[in-house]
Amino acid sequence: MNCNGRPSSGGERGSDAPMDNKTIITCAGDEELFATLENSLVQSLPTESFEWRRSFGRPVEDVYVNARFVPFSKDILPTQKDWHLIKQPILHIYWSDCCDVDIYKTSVKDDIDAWLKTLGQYQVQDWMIVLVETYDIKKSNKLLPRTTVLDKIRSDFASKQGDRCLSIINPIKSESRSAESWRGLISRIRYLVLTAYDKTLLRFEEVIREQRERRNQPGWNFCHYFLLQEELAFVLEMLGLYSEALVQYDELDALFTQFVLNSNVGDTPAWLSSFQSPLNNWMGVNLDNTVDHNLRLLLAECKASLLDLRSYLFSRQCAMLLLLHKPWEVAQRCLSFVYNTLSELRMLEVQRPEGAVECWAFLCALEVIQACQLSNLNTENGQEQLDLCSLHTASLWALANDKLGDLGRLCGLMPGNELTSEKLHTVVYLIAGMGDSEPQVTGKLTPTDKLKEALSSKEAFKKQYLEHAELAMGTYKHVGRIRSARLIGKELARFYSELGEFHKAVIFLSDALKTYTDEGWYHLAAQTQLELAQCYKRMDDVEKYVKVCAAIASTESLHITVRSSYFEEMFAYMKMLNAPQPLLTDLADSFTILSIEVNVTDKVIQDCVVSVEVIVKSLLPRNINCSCAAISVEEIKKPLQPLNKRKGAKVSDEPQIELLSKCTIDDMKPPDPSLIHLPVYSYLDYKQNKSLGSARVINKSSKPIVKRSDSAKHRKPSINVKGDFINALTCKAFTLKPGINTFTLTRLVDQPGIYKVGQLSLIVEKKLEFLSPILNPRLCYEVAKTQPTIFLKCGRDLLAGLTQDLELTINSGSVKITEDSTLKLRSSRGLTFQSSTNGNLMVREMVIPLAPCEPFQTTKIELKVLAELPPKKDSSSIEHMLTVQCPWDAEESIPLHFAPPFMSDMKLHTAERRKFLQIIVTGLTGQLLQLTEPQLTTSASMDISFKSLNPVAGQKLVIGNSMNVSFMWELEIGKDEKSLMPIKTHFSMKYVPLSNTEDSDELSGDDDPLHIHKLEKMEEASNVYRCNFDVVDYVTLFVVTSKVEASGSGGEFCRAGSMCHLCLTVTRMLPNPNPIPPPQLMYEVLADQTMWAVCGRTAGIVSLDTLEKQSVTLDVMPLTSGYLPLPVVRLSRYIPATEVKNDTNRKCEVVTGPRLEPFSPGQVYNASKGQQVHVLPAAPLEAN
Amino acid sequence: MILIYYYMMAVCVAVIGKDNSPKYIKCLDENTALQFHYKVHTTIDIIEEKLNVGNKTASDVRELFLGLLFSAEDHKIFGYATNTKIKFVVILQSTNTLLRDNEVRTIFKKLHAAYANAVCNPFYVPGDQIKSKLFDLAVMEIMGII
Repeated sequence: MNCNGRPSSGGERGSDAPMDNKTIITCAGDEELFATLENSLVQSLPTESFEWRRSFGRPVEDVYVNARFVPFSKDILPTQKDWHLIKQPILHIYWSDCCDVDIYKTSVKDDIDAWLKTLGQYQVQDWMIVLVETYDIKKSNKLLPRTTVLDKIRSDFASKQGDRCLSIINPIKSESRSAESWRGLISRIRYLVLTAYDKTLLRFEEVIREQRERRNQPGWNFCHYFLLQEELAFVLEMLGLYSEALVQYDELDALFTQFVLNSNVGDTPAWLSSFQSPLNNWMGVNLDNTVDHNLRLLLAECKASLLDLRSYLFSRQCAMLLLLHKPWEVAQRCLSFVYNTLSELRMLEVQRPEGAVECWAFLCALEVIQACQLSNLNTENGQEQLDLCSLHTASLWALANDKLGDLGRLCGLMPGNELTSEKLHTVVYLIAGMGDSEPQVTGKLTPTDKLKEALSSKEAFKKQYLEHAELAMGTYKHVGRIRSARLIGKELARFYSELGEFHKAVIFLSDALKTYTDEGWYHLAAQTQLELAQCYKRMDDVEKYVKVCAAIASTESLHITVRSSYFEEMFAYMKMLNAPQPLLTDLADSFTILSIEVNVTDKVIQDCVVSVEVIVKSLLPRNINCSCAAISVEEIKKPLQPLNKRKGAKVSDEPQIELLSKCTIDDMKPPDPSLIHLPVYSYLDYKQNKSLGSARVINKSSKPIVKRSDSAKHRKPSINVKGDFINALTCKAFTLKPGINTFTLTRLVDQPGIYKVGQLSLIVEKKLEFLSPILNPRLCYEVAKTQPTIFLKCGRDLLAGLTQDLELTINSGSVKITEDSTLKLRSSRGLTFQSSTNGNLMVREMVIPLAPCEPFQTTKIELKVLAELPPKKDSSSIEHMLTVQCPWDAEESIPLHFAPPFMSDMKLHTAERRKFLQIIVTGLTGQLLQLTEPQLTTSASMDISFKSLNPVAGQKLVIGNSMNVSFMWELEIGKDEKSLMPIKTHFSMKYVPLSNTEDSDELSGDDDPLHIHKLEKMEEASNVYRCNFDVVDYVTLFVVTSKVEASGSGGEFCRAGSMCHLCLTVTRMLPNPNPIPPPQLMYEVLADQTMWAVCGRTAGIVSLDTLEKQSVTLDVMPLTSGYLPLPVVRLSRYIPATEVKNDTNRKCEVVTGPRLEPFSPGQVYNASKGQQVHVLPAAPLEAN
Repeated sequence: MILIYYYMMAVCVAVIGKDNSPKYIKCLDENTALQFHYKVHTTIDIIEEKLNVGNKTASDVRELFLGLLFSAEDHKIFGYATNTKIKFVVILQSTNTLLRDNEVRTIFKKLHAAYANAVCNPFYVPGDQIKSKLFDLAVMEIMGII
């Protein structure tokens, strides 16, 4: 069926096309001879390429010469007027086998002459004369042939072009000898053919140029010009110069395009109007690599339609490209070719039936794809080429799909459309216009067959549409054009949703939505969401529909009416949800969190309300009830601290948990790297003459400034899972207005710890829950628990032995102290206390009820404590412990240090035999104490008594800081008492604290003349101090008296510088000396060396075992005058080393040398102690 | 003069950020805007292809004009990418075929200058949408509205 009435092309065009363009060589002369050679010539010429050197510096090409031989005749010679390239002889050869000069002269010469003349008439200079000789051994043996026929021919016809005459040895007759000459012939023919072409083409190009120059003249016809220039292309193609042939077609293409464009703004040339005739044929491009002669014929007749011309031109371009092995360029050109042609059709206002161009475009696209596939199959590096092709075939698939879709809509083949008879008519008409495809040997469907099939039934259409769409998408994805693939996906989704296969549509739409959202194309995302919504609605997927509705209602780029209607849809469908749990959806769809703030001043204390203020922007178009808002929190577990750590070291290595109480929308965004301050500084370079040489900006950091941004941004967000909302902060129902809303979430926190804010959830109408992902940055707050603390407070240093006031302070910390809680106090031995609650009893253990107390309050408990004052002979303090058991399960021991208010000491004084005991009580603190009733007793059974020498009345005895009081007793030892046993004495006294000021005032007051009250009071307040002293070695054993007398000439006065006598007398006091202590005594004179100079021995040994008294006289010299104290004499017990009393003890006695043992102060009485001697100055007389 | 306006008519002008999100997009006819949005979005594919071609020579690096990205039935889409990977896309009508590369380049140069002025505003945060009256004016001029 052919509407144009064009003769059906049939199989003929394929066969004769390549023959057409072979180089035509005519042969004249001996035709019989030539007939024998023709076959081998035709075969030999194209076997090797020949270097084609061209004039005008055109690139040298290696070409193959293909030739066809025709007999010479005048008719086929080109005339001057008619310029054609193909089907024109290019070279003329005269063949002859004349070997005899005479025969040559008679006949052949004239024949050649006539031939050449004919050629000359047509101005043909490309000729050649071939003389075929038979190889003759005899002849070749002749050394000098005189003249040969060849020489003759050369001299007659080719005196200047000797190379045009050639003799060869007939290969038929002697094959072996002829090879060389044959090769020469072949290469000569090639050479001459190419030389002829060079000339001819140059001339032909000139003609083309000339023709082109005339293109704006009336009567010029593009079709004719096209055919003319195409001849050049044919020749170039025949010579294998495909790229140059392509250039010819491209030039024609550009020229035609320009005409069409110009027609748009200027006048339309007459020939162009032939292309404006209505379209009634829309056969696709045929890329089977042959020349479509039908189309060429139409062109020649100026009957071709625009589509015909374009299809033909494109098919030729593609043929060249395929011959150049560039299938990808075919694919690349196809899209612009189709679009360009379509726009030309529009520009030229060509009438065309609806759907015709769509058919044509579809067929072109498929044909090109097929050609690419075929070409890739046939080449070695098919995969590589396939990838190159894919880049363009993807759009071709898309084009095909698009056009098929258009056709489907037109013909009512889309799902949901009705196939009316009118549409059927369209289908029939369209199919008719496509023409018939040639029967394919492979059984593969041609594009035309495919389209026909697709248009034949809905089912077939659907199959093909989906197939093409999938191929387009797949190819786009393969070449990495995801966005284009998504767009196809959207088309496909529309198709599927029309088919009613919504679940498939949803997949594509979701993919597209994700791509658009990821890249911030919110407008497109919104559109996709609208489509998704329709799918969900028709799928009856209530949950997803509600979610999408919520998102659409919140899309600001959509019109408010659309948003409102989807808002209502959301409400209506929400009611259909009957799951117990509210439906989860993304918070970000409908709400923007502007800021979150945890309201805490510093730390939240235990058992208090934490509140989080959230400012949220609602994107929903209307008010909505938020039935519950919650924000999840989780406790951060502190790492367990090692128990043995010191307090000081703990701080440094504990990982700090940063508390963050507020964040705004700006904090939630990732930092923009382009806003980061660059660490640069300016650097100015000065020249020698102080002028600025250069200014530089130097980057301090060596790291690259521009970092590759990681793909985290495009990473798929993790699916929003609802976290643990058990400890969430919540708030009551409220209304969310469009725009900014502020609400506060609260919760009573009872567990101390650090809490981190997690997700925000807004439940709307109890059905729909908007849930945010984990908020970043995470707010963090701390709920702290402080243990109550207890400490004791006392006004000043505690004193033992006196009732002291103490204040027990309890800081409740974060614990609330309830009514019934009690405090249990226990003290260490020697410490008693009383509180106001239990009267005046001093106890060591007590339970004190605590007053109820709010957190962070203090309560105080007054205590009186009394630490026993032990006998104190030094000033060291006394330590006690007070243990407090608290209601919060903590036992605390509080150390208490009591300072002694005073200390006591005893001294033994001797006067001959009389003994006195002095007890010194020294005050140690500022506390004044009055001492009364000193008593010294002994429990010993000896006959001793103490005679008190203390005043009974008079001045008060008061001690204070470094004030002391001495008490004195005379130790009266009975006459009979011979025992030298130590005496244990007991000292006791009463002490009453005097308050520093009051007492002194009261002393002077006369309100109480008898001091009765005061005494009573004192009695009450007084405490008894007891102390034991041991009196040992109290018996005087020896008395030492010493006297200094003038000696000799000095007269009776001692004078300085003169020798004196120091008389020492040691008297034994005990009548019966104990024999056991060794009676040997050592005396030592310890003289002050500034006063006395002892002459001779200063020490000596006296023995008193028999005598009661012993005297020693030493010489001493006073060194100064005045009242000089006598030199001190020290008496010690001397234990000689050598003396052996006991043999058994010998060893140890030997080891110890002689030693001195001091006496106790009470045992030796120095009667002369404190005596002085008056020393006169040195006698002046003597000096004279 | 009329011809010049005709040449200059762009039907859609878009500025696409470094992250491929639209920073500015304006269409001549708001009713068909969506279709152009889709087109501009798909051209990002081609722009990225062109930008990702390795071993560019020095002259290529300085060439910001990407040329014709896509030729559809009724529109031609041209692209331009700044050194900071800001992409400009201009859609011209296919009928507007007299438009040569050089004229398209001029359009892009104007657009680039207008963009540079707009982002030089100290109150403009890089990456935000472009909201500038002067930029609007420049785009409208390119579209032949004024």
